[in-house]
Amino acid sequence: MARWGMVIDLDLCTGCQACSVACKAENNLAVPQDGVADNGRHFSWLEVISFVEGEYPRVKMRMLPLPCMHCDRPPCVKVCPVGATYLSEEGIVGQIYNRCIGCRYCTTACPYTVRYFNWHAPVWPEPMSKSLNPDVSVRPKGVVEKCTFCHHRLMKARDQARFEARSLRPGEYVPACVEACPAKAMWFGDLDDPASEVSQLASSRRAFRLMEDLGTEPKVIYLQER
Amino acid sequence: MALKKKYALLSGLIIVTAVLLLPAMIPNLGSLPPQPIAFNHRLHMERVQGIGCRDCHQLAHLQTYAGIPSKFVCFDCHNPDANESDANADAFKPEFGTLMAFAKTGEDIPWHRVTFTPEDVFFSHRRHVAVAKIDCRKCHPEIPDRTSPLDRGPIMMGMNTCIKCHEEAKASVDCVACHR
Repeated sequence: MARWGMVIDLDLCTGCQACSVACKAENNLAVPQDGVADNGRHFSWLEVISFVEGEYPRVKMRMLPLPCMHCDRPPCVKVCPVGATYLSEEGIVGQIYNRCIGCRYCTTACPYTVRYFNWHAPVWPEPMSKSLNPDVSVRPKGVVEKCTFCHHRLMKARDQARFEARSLRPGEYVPACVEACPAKAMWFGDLDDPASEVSQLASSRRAFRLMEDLGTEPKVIYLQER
Repeated sequence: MALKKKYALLSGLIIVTAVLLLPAMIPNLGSLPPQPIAFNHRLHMERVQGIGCRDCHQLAHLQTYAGIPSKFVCFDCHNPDANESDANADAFKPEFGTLMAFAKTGEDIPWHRVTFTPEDVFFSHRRHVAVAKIDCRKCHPEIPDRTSPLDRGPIMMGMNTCIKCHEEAKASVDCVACHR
């Protein structure tokens, strides 16, 4: 069984946010209406966070694409009172929307703040509402949603592999963000496969994980020269 | 005694109301307005040698939905230019006239969709028909014997039905495989 993981090279990332846009289009993320952003209630499953490092005159702008870390020990799963979120066999932290009661314990428990509560019913401007991705559901108001590593793409790729009576090839299943990255700063694959690009990059000298000391064992690995 | 009778009457009334309201509450249970053509599945299966579900539901092995046939699928066999006095025209009866009326208009046959998957469930016909090679009858056993069109959705489908089959076939029972 594969253990899916992502590697993001922060030295290559230009902060263009193509990953964020690709994610929104792929996963039917609604367009925030008036006032939603003012309340801080707009969200994107993959946000590119920017922060300034150092002090003038030696300042550096840093960019950090922040998807769900799909932790091997996810704190969000432990706190869910209704079992609406769980860690799948392949290491993907899934969210079952019709089980979610919207208590938001998980959004509080997540140290990476990558779980988002739907404060509003999803709305799209007219032409966009007809071009939603049929493979992904439209989440109703009142549930928590999050990055799924584009799990529906895995299902589709696996279907095709089974249809052609072969096993899944590496690189056949990649999330929309990785596919869209113009700087080729993102990789995706099986972390348990020693031959895969991600597992080799994950053991590189530059590799680190966010808030490693918490013991959540995230499966999104960042690369940066320190 | 009078009180007991009153209670019996009241509970009876509640049961009758519930039974009457039930079809309205469950979308797949309520009957729909009649289909525009009284399509006879059994007749087609019997009369036409070698016909299969896919011949009309042409997307079943390609898409998530099986596809409701357009009038042009009917015209592949029922020649719209044929005359009712033609020798083989009796095969078209009694719905021949209705179908031919659609041949003259620009509109397609307004079939009513009878089956809906719940919003939180992702079901792919392709995954089941083309990839797993499951016979259509496994989930739609009543269709080959239908002499009239479906006026309601099949009510046999529930998560228990899905899970039972998935466990037998060792298919995925991961939540996100179907709920997304």
